[in-house]
Amino acid sequence: MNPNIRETQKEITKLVIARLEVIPYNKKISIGSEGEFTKSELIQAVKDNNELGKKITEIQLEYLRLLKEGIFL
Amino acid sequence: MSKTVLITRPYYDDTTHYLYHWSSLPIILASKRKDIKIVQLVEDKVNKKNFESITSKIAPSFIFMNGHGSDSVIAGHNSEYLVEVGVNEAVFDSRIIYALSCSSGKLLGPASIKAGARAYVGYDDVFVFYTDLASVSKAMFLEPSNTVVNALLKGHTVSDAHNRSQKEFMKNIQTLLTMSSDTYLVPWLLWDMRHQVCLGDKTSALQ
Repeated sequence: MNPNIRETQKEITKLVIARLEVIPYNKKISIGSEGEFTKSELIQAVKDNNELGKKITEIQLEYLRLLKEGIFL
Repeated sequence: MSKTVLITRPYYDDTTHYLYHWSSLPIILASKRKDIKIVQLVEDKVNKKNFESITSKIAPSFIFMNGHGSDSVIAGHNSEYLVEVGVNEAVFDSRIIYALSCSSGKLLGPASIKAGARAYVGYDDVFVFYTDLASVSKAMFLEPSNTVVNALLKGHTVSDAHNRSQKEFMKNIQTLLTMSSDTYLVPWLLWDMRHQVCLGDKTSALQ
């Protein structure tokens, strides 16, 4: 993989994990047929970059993109 | 003349457990209406054979589907396929559909419209929600979903039901952003809102 792309991917992973860190420990989220997940399970999926982790990343990045586009203005 | 509504309510894992209980609220609302007849398929009765049989028998004008799904499928008990693109989407012919299930708005929704469904409201990607015991978080996600059903049961058009649901999502998001410490819920809620799709004849309503 191109070193620049790899570096960007690392930065995205760090950003998404930082956003997930604010979720309280007692919360669980249901993501489709994947099941229910705790905060630490969500973070691990993002670190592993598995299918669940990719979907979590997509959800968080879509939010940031919409914020940048001014969805709440 | 009474309007017949069919509701599928599987109950076999964490997700269907929540959907099962949450889908009881529109049923309670509808039970007070004399012009609406509710027929339910619940728990292990939610299988393809029963679904096709009862749909043919009662000819519901509106079907509210709860359960797991994918781009091309809505499932019932133990993830048995109830409706599948290229197999039996014609079962939705002449009906209004609301699918509280992942992703079916992507392929099954359009295929259903092509096969004669009047309208299809669903989600074109995964549906996510918080499941903690404090029902406030859960309600933030599932109330906007129930808004679709309640609006249709009250006789509003599909477009109106969709728009009311979108407004409910946005109201909950704004409440979280301005009055709550639970702002971490916002990306997930916004995801559900943005991925709710409304297909077919948007002016149609329950007949």
